[in-house]
Amino acid sequence: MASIEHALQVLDKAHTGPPCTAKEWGLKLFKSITEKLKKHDLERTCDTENPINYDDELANRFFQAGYELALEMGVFCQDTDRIIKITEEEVHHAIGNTPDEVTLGRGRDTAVLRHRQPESTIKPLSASPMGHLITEDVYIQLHQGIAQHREIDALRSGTLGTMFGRPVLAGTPYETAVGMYQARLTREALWRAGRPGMCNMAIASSPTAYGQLGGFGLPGGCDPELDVALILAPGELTTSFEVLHKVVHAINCGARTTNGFSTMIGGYPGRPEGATLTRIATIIHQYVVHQTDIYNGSVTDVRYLGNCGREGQWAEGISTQAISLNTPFNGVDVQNQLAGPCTEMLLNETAVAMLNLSTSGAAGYLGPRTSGSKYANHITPLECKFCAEVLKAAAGMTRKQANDIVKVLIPKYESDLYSPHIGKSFKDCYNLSTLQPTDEWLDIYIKVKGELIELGVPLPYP
Amino acid sequence: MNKDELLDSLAIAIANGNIDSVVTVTKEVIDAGIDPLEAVLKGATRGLDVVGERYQRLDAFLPDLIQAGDAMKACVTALKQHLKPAQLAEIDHGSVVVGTVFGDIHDIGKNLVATMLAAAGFTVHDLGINVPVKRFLEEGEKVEAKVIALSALLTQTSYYQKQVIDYLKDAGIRSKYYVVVGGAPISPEWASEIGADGYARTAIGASQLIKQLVTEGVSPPLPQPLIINQ
Repeated sequence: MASIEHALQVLDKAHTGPPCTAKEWGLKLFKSITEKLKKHDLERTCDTENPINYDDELANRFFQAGYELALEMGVFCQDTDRIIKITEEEVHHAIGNTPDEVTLGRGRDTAVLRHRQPESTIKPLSASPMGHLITEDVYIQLHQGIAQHREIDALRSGTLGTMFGRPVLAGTPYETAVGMYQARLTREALWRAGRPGMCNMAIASSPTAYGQLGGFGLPGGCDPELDVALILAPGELTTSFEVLHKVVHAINCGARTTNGFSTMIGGYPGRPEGATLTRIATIIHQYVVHQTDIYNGSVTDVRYLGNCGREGQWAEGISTQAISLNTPFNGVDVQNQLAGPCTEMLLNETAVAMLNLSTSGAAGYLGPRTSGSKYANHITPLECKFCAEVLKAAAGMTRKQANDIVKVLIPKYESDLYSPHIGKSFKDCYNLSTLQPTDEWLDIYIKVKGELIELGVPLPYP
Repeated sequence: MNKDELLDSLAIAIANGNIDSVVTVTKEVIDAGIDPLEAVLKGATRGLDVVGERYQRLDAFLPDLIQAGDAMKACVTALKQHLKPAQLAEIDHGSVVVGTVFGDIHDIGKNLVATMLAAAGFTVHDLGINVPVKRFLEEGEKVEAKVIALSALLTQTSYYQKQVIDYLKDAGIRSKYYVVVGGAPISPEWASEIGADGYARTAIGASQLIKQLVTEGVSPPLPQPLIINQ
């Protein structure tokens, strides 16, 4: 359970820790990563021919190196240009006191996020969609369409760019207002879908703390008893007062939190091995510094801003394995698909990512990030359902089996990662009255699902 | 060393981001009487291309790009007094003001773009994160920038890209700057809607985009944004 005393101690450190500029921090991080990779003999271990790692010893070595990186670096605070140092005792406390399951939602809609090991038969939890921009005119229908699929366990509601037609400008009272607006629209959607007790991870519509302050823990807003406060860090091993505001507010209203971040292949962490280490260290920090209940986030390859290529999948999988094998931490991992709805590429990217996460021991999944979350309404309930189906069907498969399938699927789309098909919007491939997909989109879904069954994924026939 | 060997050495020193070596080789280039413009274009720039290619293959990383950019800066500084005004104009692409817009604290994409621009020969004025609208204009005026580059990772902060452009219009100085936009939720359609001059999907694309804008000579604002690698 998060404590206000610990949050204040973190704030104290943010004001008194060793000074460091952002540029110095980045270079220091790169140097430290390089040293750790060398020390643990992890350089050039990324195997692009086998995007899903199945060597536990390698995953454990990455954990050890990531653990050391977390301790050595600490967390950079953007607002004070100081480093929040952490101790080994704090890390041990976090590992020793984090429960291995988290209950989400209420009543018939209760879902449990359980700790899983690689190749576990426990079915992972699926939460959809992601932070997509969803316009006001279809906000309720789209979320209702997602929640109507029983395979999906929780919502991570989309982003509202406007409120009553007005742009929601960051850092202004529009955000305070949209926090409540989003919470109410989402609750309406869940009621319409017959899932009133479903957990919602929010508030996505506000990057600053105002949205959470305005919409979480207030009457009519997100309910700390069943919902989870969504807190996103600005980057690897980094925090800010916006993030710490949200942490303190969540503690004040008794809410659980999910803390996320993105780790960049090609950024300061460098190669996939560096991104793996950095992701492990940053996950540890979410528990030690931000006192999270559920980590989220992903590896992103800056060359194409996704992670469904070979290096991205390898780093995502092995870092998930490392955390799963060495801590009780539960994550809802994010995967960054780039293609849009009504394309085979989207489903193939998704299948690869779900096979990897499920067999690598992820407790849950958060997504999809259809069309890279770049285009308004370019997400539909069908691929959310597909995510959940593949994720759960893959529980119990071995990583080797999953890897063999992934090796067939990745070549189908990898040349398109740099110019992905944006597909069609929700309005163009769904009937907005019946909330059913068009025949075109349904046919693609059935075709790809059939191909996965042929390849050995134990999915029910569509 | 003959001329080709010296230019090769300069390219290697730049690619390795070794400032000491760059300074030494640049002095040898000057002493050998090699045309300084040729040294930049056939030596130093080639080094930057090499590191750019390495980056694409994941054999070089952001810190390597930063070091190569710093090395390039050292080379140009040493050669500057030997370049004729027309030659100087050929390699000096001008100043770019870069920043993540107000309300947004994400900096990786912006850092990548700033680094690539510096490596490509631009003078970069990085305003950091969470930058208020007026700050872009103040800096643009102060450094006589040609380009203002606006990064936003979130929909709610992307509105501030529009606000910067609107402010430039209202102040009657829109035609002084190319305004380019980028970031995860940014699309070519958004760039067009808000009247930006360009959009690129990736950091490498952003560098190409800005180079193309300033070298093609079409005055801002462009009727439609130039779109790279979409």
